Amino acid sequence: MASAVSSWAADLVSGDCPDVVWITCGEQTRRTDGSITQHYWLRSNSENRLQCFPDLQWEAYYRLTDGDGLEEGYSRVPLACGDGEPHLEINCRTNARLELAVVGHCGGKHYTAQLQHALFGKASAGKHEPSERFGELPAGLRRWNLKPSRRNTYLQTGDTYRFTYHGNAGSVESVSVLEKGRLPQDLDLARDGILVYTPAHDPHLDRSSPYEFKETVLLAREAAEDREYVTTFTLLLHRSYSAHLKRLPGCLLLAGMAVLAAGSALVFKRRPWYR
Amino acid sequence: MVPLMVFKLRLIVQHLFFVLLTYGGRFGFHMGFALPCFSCPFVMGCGGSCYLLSLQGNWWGLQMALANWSTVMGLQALYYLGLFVLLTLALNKFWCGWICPFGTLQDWFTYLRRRLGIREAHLSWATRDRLKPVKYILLAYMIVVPLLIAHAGLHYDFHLPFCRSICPAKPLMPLFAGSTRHLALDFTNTVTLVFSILSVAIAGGMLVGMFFKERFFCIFCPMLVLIHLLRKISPVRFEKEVGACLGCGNCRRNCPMDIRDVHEQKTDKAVLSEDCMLCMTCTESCPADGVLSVRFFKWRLFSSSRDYVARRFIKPHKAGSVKVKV
Repeated sequence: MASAVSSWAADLVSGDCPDVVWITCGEQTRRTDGSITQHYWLRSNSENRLQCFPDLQWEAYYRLTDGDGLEEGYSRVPLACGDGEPHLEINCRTNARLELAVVGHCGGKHYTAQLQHALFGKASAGKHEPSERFGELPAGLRRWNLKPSRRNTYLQTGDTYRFTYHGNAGSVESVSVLEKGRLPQDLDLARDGILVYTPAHDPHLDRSSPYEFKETVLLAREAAEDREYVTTFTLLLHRSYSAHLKRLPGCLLLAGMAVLAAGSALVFKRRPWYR
Repeated sequence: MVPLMVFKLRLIVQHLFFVLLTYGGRFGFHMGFALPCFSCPFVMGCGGSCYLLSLQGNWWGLQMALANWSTVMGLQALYYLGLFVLLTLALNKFWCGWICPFGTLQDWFTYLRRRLGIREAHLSWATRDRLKPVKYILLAYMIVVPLLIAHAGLHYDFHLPFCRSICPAKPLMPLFAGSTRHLALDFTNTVTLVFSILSVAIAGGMLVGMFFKERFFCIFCPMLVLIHLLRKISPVRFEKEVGACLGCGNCRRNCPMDIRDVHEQKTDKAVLSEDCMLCMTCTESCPADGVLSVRFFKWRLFSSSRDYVARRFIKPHKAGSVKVKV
């Protein structure tokens, strides 16, 4: 996925700063205590990515919301350089929703890369204790806000999602969706910063495991006061759980089978069925 | 005071557990994920989950990495297994005859059929014998398929094979929670479509089967096999004083599962057979004092008696005559 996005994004390189930065999901490992460690990589179209963006100042924040719905403040997590690329890892002990944001700037460009998904830690006891509490995200940070679904654990194709852009929506030059094997798709951002997006169904995802996902990046470019803000939100999209369910054929099949079975029972009866 | 009849007590217990296991989760009541009965976890807000779901899930998870046995995941699987064994030992087949919500649903169909005056369908002994292996085949199916997913690269959409393609409780029980989702055909891909067609078609057939034949699904129920494996170490015993048996055959005629073993047993004291669900209908209908008894350790829970049969089946009608319930 990342390489596919990189291939189109390579056309957009400007200057020494990366044009677009987004988060991509890496390997997930389960520890012996049941907790899981999820790796994330920061990807961009920059030629300098193998040097971990030496000119950039990156900060990563995350928040884990557990099943009780108790939202703790954001915590900081250090970015490391692995295989020449910036990456980070987050350990999760219980079932929780992760909100991750990586913030950086280069020259006049300000980057925010976000990702939000569920993690399933199975540690027998204890909660995740972040190394450094931070509180809230920096004021004025350009970012997307996606209200989590109450119905579904995973983001799915075919569902409609409502994003809110925190920034100056009037200065947003473009909003687009970057997806594997497809050209960037432009979307309309409302004046109040609301964006409604329905990811299309993907036949490849439908044929694969329900735990497979694809990464789709929502990108906003805002220009204000000689600054450029590039904000991305990585959607980990699973196949739809409900869009392909057809109740009517199911009910007809149930009734048909019941009639067939009842007919068979009466036809092949060996004694009168009525007393 | 008139003592509570066993069949009435059973009716109360069955309906109490039907409500608890179908709606209990909505009120914070949950009996865990290792129940030895068909308490369907696909019912939103259920009060407990059938062990067969855990069994299929655990096999898949653990076989992916045998090293998991020493981790929390492995301990969790062992915990479910241990809990299942404990619960099964404690109540044995009482789970089937007294607690299983899907069993209760089948009993409702039987009640409806009786009220409509429709005869019960009769399966010949040969047919019964031919159907006996089905429950073992289903048990093998739910263990082998997860292993194939783990080791042979079978598509993950084959997971929970029994629940998703066979079990009629999955499409039917969620209806009591207002959900028709599991009656739908799933057109996501070929595997999901075939599984959903099988599931709904079997449910349709079972609906009719349950109407015409008492406890029809129990003939195929793989949970009966699992529970039966532990019968010898369970403190729940179903015994027959073979020497005192009158040979009247009431036990055989009244058994909802058409079990012959209790009547035909001439030597062995233990008569808890594989298909028995401990509904105690045979014990209720046995006119010989103490011939059939259900025990918990050394304590006798209930045993047959002439007086009980008289109270249960023969009611005073008019002075000088009696009315026999048939």
